[in-house]
Amino acid sequence: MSFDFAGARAGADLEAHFDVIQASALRVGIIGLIVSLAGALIPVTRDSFFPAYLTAFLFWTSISVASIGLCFLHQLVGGSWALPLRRPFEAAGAMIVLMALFFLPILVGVRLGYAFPWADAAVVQADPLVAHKTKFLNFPFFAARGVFYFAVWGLAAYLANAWSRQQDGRSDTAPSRRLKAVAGPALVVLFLSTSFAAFDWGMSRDPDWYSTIYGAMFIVGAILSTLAFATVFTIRNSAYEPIRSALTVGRLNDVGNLLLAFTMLWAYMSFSQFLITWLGNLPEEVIWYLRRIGGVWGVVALGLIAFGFFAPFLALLERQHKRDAGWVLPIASWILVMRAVDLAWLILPGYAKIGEGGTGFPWLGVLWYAAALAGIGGVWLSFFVRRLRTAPLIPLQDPRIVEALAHDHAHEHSGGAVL
Amino acid sequence: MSVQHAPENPEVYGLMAEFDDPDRLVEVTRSAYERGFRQMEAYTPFPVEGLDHALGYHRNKVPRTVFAGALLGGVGGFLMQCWSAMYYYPHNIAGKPLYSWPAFIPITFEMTVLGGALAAVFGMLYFNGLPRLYHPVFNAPEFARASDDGFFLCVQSRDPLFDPEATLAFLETCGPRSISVVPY
Repeated sequence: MSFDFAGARAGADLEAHFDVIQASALRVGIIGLIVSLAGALIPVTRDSFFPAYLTAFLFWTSISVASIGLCFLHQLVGGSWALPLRRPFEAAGAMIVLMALFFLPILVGVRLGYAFPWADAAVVQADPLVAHKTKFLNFPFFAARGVFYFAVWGLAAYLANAWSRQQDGRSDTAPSRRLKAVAGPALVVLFLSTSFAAFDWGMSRDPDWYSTIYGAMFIVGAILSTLAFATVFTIRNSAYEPIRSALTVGRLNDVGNLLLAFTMLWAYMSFSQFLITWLGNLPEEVIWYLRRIGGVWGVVALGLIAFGFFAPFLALLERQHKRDAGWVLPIASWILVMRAVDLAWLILPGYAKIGEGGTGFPWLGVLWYAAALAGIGGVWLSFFVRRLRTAPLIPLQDPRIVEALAHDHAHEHSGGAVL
Repeated sequence: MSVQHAPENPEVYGLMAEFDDPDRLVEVTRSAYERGFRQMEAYTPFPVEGLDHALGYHRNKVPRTVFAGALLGGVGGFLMQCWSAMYYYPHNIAGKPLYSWPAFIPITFEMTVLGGALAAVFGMLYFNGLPRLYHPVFNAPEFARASDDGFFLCVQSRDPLFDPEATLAFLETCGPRSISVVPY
């Protein structure tokens, strides 16, 4: 299997297909955003709208941030698994700029007293524990931290994109060397900033509770979402060159293994938090779970165990499944759906004082969540494809890729057959 | 050395051909398979991609053994904890119920891994027919090179198509470095 440089660009048929995706995604996005706008403008629905919008925002932000991380991770570990995924990761990472715009409605919501309990003056007055935390959880500091996160991620996304593209079409490896040099430190910075962002945007939905593993759990989930998204996108476009030649059976197998590993890691992180909380059995810790195992949320929790962990785990155990796009595509799509459900379970359940019970299942919130997921997602996908097609779909000059292809050629014909 | 037809002369284990490079070995193996030979084995210093398919080797029983071992380890580990915590040595720990399944999960997980790993090691040994103190292929001259730079294909005499002269003639057309008769 070999690529020539011109062949790494999208052909006319793929360009036409990308046109269709861009247009229809944008349409879906605009409809979703119009419905979301209704939720934000009608005063009585704001209580259910802003948390739902926050959840959808986190879903797409997590894919953008984790994509930047995976670009840098590939610089550190190499390998040909990323051959069909590198450019989608870079384009998805660049979408962090878009997510900075979608962060503005959340700031508006916090300013108006929605989205987070600590932003609600009535809660702060009634709960001394929450009042105590307003030194950290207050609007100006929250906004400043948000600006800081996006500045860091924007810079990381810029480096991952710009230096990778500078490498295209030149024979010396100076840009790749720079990229590799910053990869390690960048991953540390990305991990810490994303962990803190998860505390700010996810954990502070329950300001009377804390968990140190929360950030790591969120990040592992984000990487799982990203791998699933990139897999779905790549397989769905694998009828076209050059994606067809890049996505060999061997690489599909690698991606399937990564999905399996991160499904297990996500379950491991989630269960670790649960086990420690359960063993400690302290009122201020179990409250988070009490809000999430009553009524409908309890059904969702059981569903996450059965269909978020066991279903993809068992399906991905079989080697033949990982080597067959007919299996990997539905499994990865399913993982993506369960990621959206998991985020809803993490973020949506309402803050309530101990003994008062939850605020019930936010049926209206589910509607807003779906609208915001489609709204942000449609616009995101449209700009993602637009970004993706501005460069060759495979970074052929990257020494990591050259190395991996040479290795494949010497030892296995294998990235193997094309699908 | 003259050799008789295999059924009458079982002291011949097979014919061993040595090749210079792995690609050649895969090609020869593939053409031997196409001729109908099934009782063959190849010996190489490192794993050669595609050689298993060329030998017609498709089914690997180890993964299923590992799954069974992991399942046995996991269920066994869980039941072991239920038995010890609920019946053999019931003890009130931090006011938790005797059947505290969340606390059993880490051990269950570890036992799953242990069961899977043991099944992998011993299943691999069993299906490979190991340990084995004597194997005739080591009678072939220069066979030590199979762990250095030699690539060997052995067509065994128990193959129904095996014929000392015809098989030898076929292997000679494949351009080997050398061919030898492997005695038992």
